[in-house]
Amino acid sequence: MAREIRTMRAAALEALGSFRFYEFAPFAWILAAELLVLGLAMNLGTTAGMATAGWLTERLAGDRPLHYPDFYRFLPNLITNIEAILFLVAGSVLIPLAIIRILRPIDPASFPERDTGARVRQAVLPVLIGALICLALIVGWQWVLHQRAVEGTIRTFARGFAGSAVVAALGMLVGYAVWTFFVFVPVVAVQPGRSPGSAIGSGLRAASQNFFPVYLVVVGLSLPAAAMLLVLQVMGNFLVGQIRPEIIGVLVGIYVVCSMFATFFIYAAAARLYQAQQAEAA
Amino acid sequence: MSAGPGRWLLLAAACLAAGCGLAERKAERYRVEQTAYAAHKAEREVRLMRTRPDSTALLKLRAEYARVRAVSTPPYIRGASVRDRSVGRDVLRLVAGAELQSARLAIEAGRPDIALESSRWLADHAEGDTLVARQSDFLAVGALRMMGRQNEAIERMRGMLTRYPPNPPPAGSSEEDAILTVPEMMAGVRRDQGDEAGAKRELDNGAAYLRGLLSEPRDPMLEAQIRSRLVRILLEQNQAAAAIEQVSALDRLVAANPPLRELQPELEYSRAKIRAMTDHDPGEGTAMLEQFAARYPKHPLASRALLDAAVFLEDAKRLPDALARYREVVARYPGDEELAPIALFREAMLEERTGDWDRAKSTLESLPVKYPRSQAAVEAPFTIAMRYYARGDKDAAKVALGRAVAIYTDMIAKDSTSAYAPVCRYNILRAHLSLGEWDKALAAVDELALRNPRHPFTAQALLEGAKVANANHQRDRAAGYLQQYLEFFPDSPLAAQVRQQKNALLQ
Repeated sequence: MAREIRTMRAAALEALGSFRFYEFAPFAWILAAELLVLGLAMNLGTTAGMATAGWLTERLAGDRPLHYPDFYRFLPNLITNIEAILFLVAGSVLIPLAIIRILRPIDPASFPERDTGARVRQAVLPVLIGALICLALIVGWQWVLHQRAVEGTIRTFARGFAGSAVVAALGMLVGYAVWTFFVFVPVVAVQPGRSPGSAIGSGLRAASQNFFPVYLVVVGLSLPAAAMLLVLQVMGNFLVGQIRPEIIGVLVGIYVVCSMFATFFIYAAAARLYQAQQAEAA
Repeated sequence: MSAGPGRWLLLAAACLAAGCGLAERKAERYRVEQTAYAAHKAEREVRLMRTRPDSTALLKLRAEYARVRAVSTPPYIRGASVRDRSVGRDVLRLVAGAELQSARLAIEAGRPDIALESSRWLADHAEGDTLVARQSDFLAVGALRMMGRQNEAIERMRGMLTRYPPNPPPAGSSEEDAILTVPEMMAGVRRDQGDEAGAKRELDNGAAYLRGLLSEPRDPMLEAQIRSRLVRILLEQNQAAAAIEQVSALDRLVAANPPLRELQPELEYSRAKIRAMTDHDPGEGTAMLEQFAARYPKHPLASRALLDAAVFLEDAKRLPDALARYREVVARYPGDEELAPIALFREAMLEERTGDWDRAKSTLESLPVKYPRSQAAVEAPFTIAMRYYARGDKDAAKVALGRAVAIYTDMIAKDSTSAYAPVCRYNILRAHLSLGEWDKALAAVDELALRNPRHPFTAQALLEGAKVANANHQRDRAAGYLQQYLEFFPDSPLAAQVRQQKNALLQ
């Protein structure tokens, strides 16, 4: 276990140390889309903002959140929903593309330039299915957590602000654990000659073999974004009602950027770890 | 015929344009909300400061709310689709809400004229929305009252009764339509003017109005609310038989409609009061009123039940019991700004009657401190002086009058636009007249004429002022007061006589 942790730590440090925008570019597209929605959402008083971010909000929750300052209470939900959809749809193409770009300098023979398109097409289906299952599990977990019996039990041990913080933290920690199981699916899916079934199966197997070190890296790299999300979940009403609603927009912006970089580094570290383990096995 | 790509593009553009129209309206609503919120926040920040905002600060805050008007342009309810018009109605109501807030601050800053302008603006932009039209009228009534234009306020209220039929409460609520409170408000305005006969007349009119409403079939909750208001008016008018009739009808209504069961306590109170009014010995009725207050201590009528019990006991010459009840009202309901000062005043009167003048005096002295915005607080300082006169202690009476002037001046300085400010000014005049301080008395007349030109007390003050000025060889000044009287009260029955006196003074 100690060796696995050391290997994963090395992979994470290498991912952080050898950042190249070219590799991050596919994630940057998703980030740009999220920031565009956020920008429009921050300008809901304009026709453009209302016709886009307002329209999306209305599709998700009806007319009720489309009022000032209530909209800012809903903004984190809107952005996390948009983030989930973008990762699900655009991510099925862009995440494999980023992973191919990360792995090419490490193993040029397995990831030749000319195969990029075919390899991305090969990965789309397993990545999409994996993301769908992952999303369903996280949504299911959040549903269970917010059942009156479960949340009530937690709040009997921790009341008020502490109770809200515990519920939010528990929601995130378990959510990250679920995601950890699916981190290797895109990494395996871009490997040469992988069918969708084997990509998902091998991805899950690789994750369960390396679960603890990968989970530590996932949590460690996600800490800034998680802290921001915690503040938004626990103090959102306070910030909107007592300080200034627009602060929520700024915090969501910071969350989005932190979350995107964390996701990129996690995939980069997982890809490096997987590739190293494959090389070692060979 | 097949649709070419051009037609599809045209269709898509039309859909987009239709959607954008709604988005534009919603964006407009959002901007209005943003501006209103900014104004609300600015006010909250000012209110959180240690010092109370002065009129300049209040008018600055008012300007923040007034900005909301500029965010959206009328007509607000526009567009072809139902959704467009629905969002437009939201915008109208938001703008109206902000305008009401701005008017509230104008009134607080002592500028009811601005509030009246707001009310006119609201009336002009109501776009057929009854809620906004009603708000405009209620605002106008408040502003007119503050400006001392009580008769106009009453006329406006009378118009409201014909314009706005009462609405039943929304499903699941028992909230009463404010229009049903208007008849009692009209009586209250007359009472504030010191016009008891006028108040009685307004109550008569109010009872007739409510009876008129009952001549048509109504929603059961609304009918119950109308009957309940009618019972209150009838009880105030001491019309026990008519009140019993309404209580019985209300009883039947409650029995037939289980959701109205929440009116049961009010019925109990009415029965107890009728019993106390009609029985030769009010013992049983007062006991029922006391039981009501004990059983429903948090009911809005609980303090009134105790006060009623005290008044019936006082009428029955059971003074110690009555005194105990008055004290109970003050002790248990100190926050009841309407009834607690009355109870405290009557407590003082009973203390004096039972021989405890020192305690009565200190009770009266506490009134302007505890309830400065009450009729009792205005009466108390003058009453102390009058009681000294009645006891034959003229020196103490003069000292008390001097103190009363100081208290009234302080009360006016604290709230120069309250409904009681003209009464305070008039009492200052009375005090100076009693003390023989003629110059100060004439200054008080000038102040009343300047601040409350159309108030009934001003009419009295101008006539007194003319007498005093004439007696002090200031014939021009006396004639000036009479001229002001004629300008302010041209329809007064005394107008001809006053004109004659004025002409005589000028010859």
